[in-house]
Amino acid sequence: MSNQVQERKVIDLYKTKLDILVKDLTSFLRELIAHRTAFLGAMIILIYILAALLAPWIAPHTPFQGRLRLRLLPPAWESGGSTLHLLGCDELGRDLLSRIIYGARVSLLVGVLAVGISVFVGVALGSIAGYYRGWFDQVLSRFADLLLSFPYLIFAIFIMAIVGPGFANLIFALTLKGWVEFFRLVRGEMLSEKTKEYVDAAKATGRKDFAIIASEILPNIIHSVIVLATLRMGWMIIMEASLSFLGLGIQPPTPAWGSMINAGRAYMLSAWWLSTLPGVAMLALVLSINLLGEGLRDILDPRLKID
Amino acid sequence: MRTIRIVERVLVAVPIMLGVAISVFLFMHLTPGDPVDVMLGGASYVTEEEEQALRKEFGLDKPLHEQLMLFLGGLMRGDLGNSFTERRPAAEMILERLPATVELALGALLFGLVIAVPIGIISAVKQNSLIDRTSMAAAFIGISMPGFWLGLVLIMIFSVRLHLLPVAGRIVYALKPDHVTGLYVLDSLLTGNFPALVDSIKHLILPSVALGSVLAAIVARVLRSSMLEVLRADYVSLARAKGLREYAVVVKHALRNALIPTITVVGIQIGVLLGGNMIIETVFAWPGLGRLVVNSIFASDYPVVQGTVIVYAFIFVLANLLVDILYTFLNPKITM
Amino acid sequence: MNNDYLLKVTGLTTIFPTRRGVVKAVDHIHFNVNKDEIVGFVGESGCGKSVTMLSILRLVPYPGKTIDGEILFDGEDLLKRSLPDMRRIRGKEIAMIFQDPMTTLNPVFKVGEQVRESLRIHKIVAGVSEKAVPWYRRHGSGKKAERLRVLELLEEVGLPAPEENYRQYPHELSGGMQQRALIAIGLSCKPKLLLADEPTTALDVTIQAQILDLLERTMRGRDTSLILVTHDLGVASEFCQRIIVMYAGRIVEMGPTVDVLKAPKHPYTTGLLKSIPRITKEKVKIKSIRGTVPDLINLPHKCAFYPRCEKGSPACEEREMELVEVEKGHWVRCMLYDERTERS
Repeated sequence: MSNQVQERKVIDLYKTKLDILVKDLTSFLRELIAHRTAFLGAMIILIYILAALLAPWIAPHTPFQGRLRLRLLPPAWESGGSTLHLLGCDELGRDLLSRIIYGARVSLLVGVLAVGISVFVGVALGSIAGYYRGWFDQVLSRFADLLLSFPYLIFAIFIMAIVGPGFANLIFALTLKGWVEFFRLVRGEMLSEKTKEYVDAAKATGRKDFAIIASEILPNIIHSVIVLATLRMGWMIIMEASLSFLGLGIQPPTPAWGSMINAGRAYMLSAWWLSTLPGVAMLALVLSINLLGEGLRDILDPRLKID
Repeated sequence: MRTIRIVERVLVAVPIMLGVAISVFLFMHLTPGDPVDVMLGGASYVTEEEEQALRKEFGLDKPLHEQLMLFLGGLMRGDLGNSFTERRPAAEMILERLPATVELALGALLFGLVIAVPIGIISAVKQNSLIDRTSMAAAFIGISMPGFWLGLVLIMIFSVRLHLLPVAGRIVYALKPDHVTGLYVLDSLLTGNFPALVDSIKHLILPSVALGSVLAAIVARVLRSSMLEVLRADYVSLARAKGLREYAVVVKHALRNALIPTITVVGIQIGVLLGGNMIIETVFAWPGLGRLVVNSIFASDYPVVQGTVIVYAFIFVLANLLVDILYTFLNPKITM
Repeated sequence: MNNDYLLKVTGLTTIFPTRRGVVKAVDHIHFNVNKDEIVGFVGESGCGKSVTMLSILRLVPYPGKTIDGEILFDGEDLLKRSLPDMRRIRGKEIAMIFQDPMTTLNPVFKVGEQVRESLRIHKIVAGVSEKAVPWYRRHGSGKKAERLRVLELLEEVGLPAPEENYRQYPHELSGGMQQRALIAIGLSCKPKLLLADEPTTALDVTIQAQILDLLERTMRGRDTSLILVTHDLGVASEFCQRIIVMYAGRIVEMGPTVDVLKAPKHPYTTGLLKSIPRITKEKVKIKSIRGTVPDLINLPHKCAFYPRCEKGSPACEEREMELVEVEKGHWVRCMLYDERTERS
């Protein structure tokens, strides 16, 4: 009998926690919808995500193979263009629209992975360093300072030079410096939160350190982390594009916006769309991500000043 | 007080630069593959002895820590090793390209600040006006845009379509001014060479705009936000109550205070500037360090790659040092 | 009689438009300030005393604005003067001292420079307006004389080491010293009227007394009038010759300090006096005025104090009262003193 009663109690406990969570989420979503620019950004990002996921089905042609006859075909609205290839074709006769759609896959994946791993590593290291202090904190902070004395792109390019081009290496290069910002953020917050009374209270009731950190970080720090992560995602996408542009990132034939823009350079005079249109796609995506990020900042905590 | 602070900052910079040099060196030597093979280009007709000789020439036969010591020693003397591809000191190659990079960086910085500061001030003073809204929207787009793409678009519009500005390069060869500093604009001014001045400026405009736009966007936003805060302060009210003209209230009292957090941001953005510098140089075929490092990476010319990365990092550290020093002048509250 | 007035305010109204409605921070107030007089403005926070001061100098922050009234100073209506004229008056004819010295002094400039700025704005050298010195004597007298004058001022306000304090930054001085510097700024151009907005509220109690002493000392030697804004009746009673009591944007009682405090006519004034804690032998409960300060956007009653008034009656709801002179120089705005009612 007591087992059942206990079970019922636990379920009730979780139900209330779940209720709270659901309520928080619904009110958050409501605020998000009310915030016009953030909502716009979120919608556009959603479109990109859908396009990237459904690429094989919605892309009008294959991005990998081209027909040489269609080399440098102009976009549909220019003379000589065709509605079969709305945005024209590149130097190998590949449909530009399809390549751009597939390129979204790369950019989104890089953005999410690079930021995600940076957040994970940064938050983990930052909370440990901030909570326990000691030599771990010292060493890591010095290391972080050292990393910060390199300009981001220079550092990334350097790492790419060492490990070689490619998708995984790119993520590695970006995260190697990316975690530092989150590390500092979380560490800083941890240092100030640690002195607050509720931590002492939790310790007094004998809660384990890990539990204290987990239940501390979640409410107070997660907001600033989310905002920063969103704002940095756009930056990661631009970095990936820059590296691919230089030929050090995603290698052909995988379509990536950066390398497409680079390939289009040779045809600046004759086929302007090769370099311009992928950039427009990137601009729209990064713009939307930034809109969402700023909107999140307004909703979650307008007092935050992160730039 | 202030001098102590400055000396402290300078002293802190030294171990940082040392750390940079060491970490670059160590990373470099983690590369898979044998640099000698790279140098030889996979040629198979080279004998064992010749290979050994090559190894010795570049000091690659010594243990790692010895190589590190040699490297650091060389660094103090300004010797960064020899290029694999061109067989001459990497430092020489770097110094040749350094003025070009510095000129571009300065051009971008100048463009960025000249645009950002007035806009930041005016947007704050006339909050929510048309000028505020449009400039902040423009700034927002600016931070979402990849610099190299902006550069290409600018070229396509201004060079290809409108034929107003040159496509690439620093200057038409025939017009190159006599060497004083290596900065063509400055040199042509100093030697009174008007055609060179005009041409070098024409070549400098588009790259500076492409590179400086992101800086301008970010600085404008940060300055506006600081100014808004500062304009609400009591000391601004007092300045008005003293009978000061509004212009002086804004520029003398408010701006000084608003610049304090802004300068910090500028320091960080110089890092972004240096990174973007590399890309813009590629886009505009600007003969600076950026192109050097990219080309060297493709040629696996490790000493040059190493050297340029270190130089870039050093420039960044120095720039931040300058910003820190400037900060101590702006903010009298900084104590030990 | 009219010629004695330094400042004559009539019907001054300043509003703040907000999202919820219009806040009447100052609602048709009339008062005068004579030459060489210290007048106290007393009332709770939010009653409109600070806004009145700002309105005089036309420094009401956006989006507030003064929409009605007349402020006669030196014979001219300040509300109608041009902005360049106002700038000439600010700091020179009418000077203001703000509440929190730490935030009122600019942190990036040295203290001496900030005092000197006042002199330079109004081109005052050696305490004398530049115009009084013939042009062939002006050269060179500028910087040195200014510096000397600033040091003089700093000494006058009781700063212990004027030379050193001149070179220091605000954060290097204590609160009391900062406020002295602000007073020096206020007095630097020898204004005819000094507006002091709660100059001691942000300071320690012991320092408060010192600053008030300083103000009194300096007022004595000069031909300057002082409006002292405070929420502390004790302060007002010690230094002010006349007291003006404000509530919810209106003046409810005004008159010579002795009269108002010894025999207050308005229930609000009485309530304020009763709520001052006293040290007595027996334990006495502090009497507070029941209720809270009203929302200035919707004042539902003719008399804003009615909901909290112990002596309120239905007559108070019939119409608004004007300020009525119940004794020589002693004015009240209260239905209790309406000739038409039985009580008086």
